[in-house]
Amino acid sequence: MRSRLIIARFTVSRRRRFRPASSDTTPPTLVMAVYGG
Amino acid sequence: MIFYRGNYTQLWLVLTSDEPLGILDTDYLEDYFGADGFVTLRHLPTGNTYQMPMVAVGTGNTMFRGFYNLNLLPDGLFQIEARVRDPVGNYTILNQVLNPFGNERVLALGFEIRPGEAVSLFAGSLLVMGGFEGHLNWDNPAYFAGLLRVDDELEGRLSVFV
Repeated sequence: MRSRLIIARFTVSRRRRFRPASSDTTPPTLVMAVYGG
Repeated sequence: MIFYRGNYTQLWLVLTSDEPLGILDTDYLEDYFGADGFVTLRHLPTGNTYQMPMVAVGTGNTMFRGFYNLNLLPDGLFQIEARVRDPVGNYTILNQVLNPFGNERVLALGFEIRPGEAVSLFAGSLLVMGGFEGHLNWDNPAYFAGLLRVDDELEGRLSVFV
């Protein structure tokens, strides 16, 4: 029996670059209020 | 921001962040001296400092509040001194801390305690019943949204007129 050459084609998707959990570089902005109790 | 002491016995402070805060050492805020869970109120005319404990409101880590015995706080200008960070390590200092890293954003937050009652309401201002009078910054949505993001308990106590 003749062996057949099977060529499998597949595509490797480009590996995603590692990204940090957040690209946030902005520090928190706080506002305030005061009231009486 | 002016606070008229009226007949109140406690000064309440609410700090609201535009993003969740991250843990510093053991808490979400630290005072001028680095004590976790507190902010420092510095009376500018004298330099005296007052340590106010702050607790989270809700579970979002965006709102914190505390109070101090108003009878122990003199009239005059105060600045709030503290350090916070977001979950990825961006730091903000309120006015100053004893040991800054040097790369924090610095915000100036403060208020003034005056004797008497808040009686004035004028165009473009915000008057919150309970002794607080301040200005809305319409050009800064984060400020506006943050100021109005109050919990149910506060909503019952703060009536806003604009």
